[in-house]
Amino acid sequence: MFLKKINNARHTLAFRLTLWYAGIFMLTSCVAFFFFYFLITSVIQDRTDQDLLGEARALSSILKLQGIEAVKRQIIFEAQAAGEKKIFFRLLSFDGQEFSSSNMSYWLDIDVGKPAINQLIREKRPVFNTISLPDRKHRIRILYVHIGRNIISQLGQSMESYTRFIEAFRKIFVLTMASLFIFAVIIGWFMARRALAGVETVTQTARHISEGSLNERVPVKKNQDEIDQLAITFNQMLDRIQTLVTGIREMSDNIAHDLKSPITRIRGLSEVSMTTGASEKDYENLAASTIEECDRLLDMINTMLVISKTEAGVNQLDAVKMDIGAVVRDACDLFRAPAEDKNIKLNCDVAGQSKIFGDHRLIQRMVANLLDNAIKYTPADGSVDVRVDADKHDTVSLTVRDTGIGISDTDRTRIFERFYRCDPSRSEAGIGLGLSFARAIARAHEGDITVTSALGEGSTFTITLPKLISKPSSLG
Amino acid sequence: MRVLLVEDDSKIASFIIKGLKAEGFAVDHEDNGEDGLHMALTEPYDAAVIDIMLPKMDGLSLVENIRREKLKTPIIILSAKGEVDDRVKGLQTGADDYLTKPFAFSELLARLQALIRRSSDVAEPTKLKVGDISMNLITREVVRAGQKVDLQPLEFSLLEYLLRNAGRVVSKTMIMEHVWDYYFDPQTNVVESRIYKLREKIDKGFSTKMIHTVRGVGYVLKEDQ
Repeated sequence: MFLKKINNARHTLAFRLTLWYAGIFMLTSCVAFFFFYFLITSVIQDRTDQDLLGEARALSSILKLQGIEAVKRQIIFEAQAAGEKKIFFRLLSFDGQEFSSSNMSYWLDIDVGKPAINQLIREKRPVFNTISLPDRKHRIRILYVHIGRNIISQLGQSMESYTRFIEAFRKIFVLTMASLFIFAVIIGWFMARRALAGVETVTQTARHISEGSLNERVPVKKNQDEIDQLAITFNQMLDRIQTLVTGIREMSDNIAHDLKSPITRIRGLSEVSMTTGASEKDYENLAASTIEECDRLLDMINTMLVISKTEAGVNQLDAVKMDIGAVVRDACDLFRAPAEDKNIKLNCDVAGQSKIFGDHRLIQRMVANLLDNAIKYTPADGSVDVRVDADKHDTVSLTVRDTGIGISDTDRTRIFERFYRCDPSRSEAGIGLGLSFARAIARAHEGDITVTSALGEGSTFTITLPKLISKPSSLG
Repeated sequence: MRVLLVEDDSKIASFIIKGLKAEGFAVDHEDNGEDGLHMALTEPYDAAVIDIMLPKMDGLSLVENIRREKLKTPIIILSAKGEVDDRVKGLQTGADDYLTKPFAFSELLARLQALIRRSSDVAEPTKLKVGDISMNLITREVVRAGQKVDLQPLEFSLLEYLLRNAGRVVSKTMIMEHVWDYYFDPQTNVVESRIYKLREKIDKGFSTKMIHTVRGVGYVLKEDQ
């Protein structure tokens, strides 16, 4: 259980951030430590070297003032005084032959370095050497130097303080690094968690939402930081989703309702025909009614598909340069016959061309929907006026005014919704999609549809669409 | 006329076969793409009706293969999807026409006959004559039993369509699409009103009616009752 938790945590951003943080922290600490280490060791070595040179200078002056025998004595005293296990002296002739030394019983394994002697003779400068022997605890610093004519002195000093320092340093290093690492991990984890806390809130909200409640929103702290931006964007997305989902829910309720009626009719008629021993004529009637109802259902389904695609923006418009005036004139011709049937005067005031950039079939359908509605809801002996107005600078407007039943204020806000039908229109044939279709198409063409109406006097629908500017603007 | 039908839905296939046979076509049916290709390549057909979703080889590949063999048989593609993309793809692969399911049988029949007529290189007639109605397509004169009939442009094109499809039922949708280039069915009786006005001019005063209503399906122009 715990292992599994750890394993899960391994993949989190907080874990990786912590690791990076700790890693970088450790790396810089190490670099600092090593820099410090080299500095200290070189200081210690330098001090040892200065000590040895000091001894050599002392020997040199004794040789000058009191002669070689005094030097021989001096080195024995000097070694005894400093500790015979800490320092030794050898006096050598110019070819490296030892002729005197301090007590060497402890230093038997230290030879005279021939190459160092040669280097000394060649360069005429003191030569330092560091020897580390496997069975000796401390390293030994050796100095070869002339203390007088043809007399070379080999001085050796055990580097005890150096070794002690290294040991202490190692201890401190391990301890410090361990505590630093723990410290870095804790701080890193804390910082990562703190920085990501906002993300966690968003995640929690998203999880709740996926469990069912679309009403929740991520709290925004008003810091205007990245997390807030995320929260705001996330909330905006939720708003949009909620609107869409509500729309879909309402729509599917409506669809279900509107699908039920024709299906009930088909089913009822079929059942009656089956159970009552119908004649051939009845079956013909049944088949005909079924086809009619199916066509109605199909038309509804297809219209819905086009609307939802147009609204979702999936349906890329098959847009071309077109004359909406011609479309309206054709539509008027087409609808003249049903208008005459109801003795409705259909006035078509469309002069010249009104060029727009649009999908011909969709525009045609939008125009026809408006005319269809106008004729349907205008009682006999009324009139329908259709006008295309291209006088405005950048828009073309299509106005359809009828002397129909009109729309009440409450209905007016809802008539563009899918399947919404005002009470007076329930009795008319139709599926309640015409206006929402018209709006979807107008909006897909970057236009819109508006309505003004007075109950009992009639309604005026106006569609505005962007005008196609015939002369291409002279862009440089 | 011999037609190849490649369709895996047996119910759809059976109504197409039944309908086409009633119209005097000989129909061969295959229910998968591979067998369909085999038949298309070995037998001579006047036209083929091919579904897009097929087992073994899909309809588009089938059409491609047929065209690769340089066969010019007119092909109608059937699809459940009405996407513009599909339509374009279908026509690009070499199909001649495209029909979305569900479709009216009369629509399929009309398109099939139009394709066969086009591919058989019959010269466009200048006159249409059914019974005692004759239509001159050049002078745009319509005469019934020696009497000149005055028609408005929309009525003329409607009558022309009915004459061209004489004896066959045409649906309201077909009239909207092929006569007036409108791709949907308005709620108001646009077609009914026109038919009514056309009848007033063509049939009124004659003992034999030429324009008949087939309830639920559409209209047919024919001589006999």
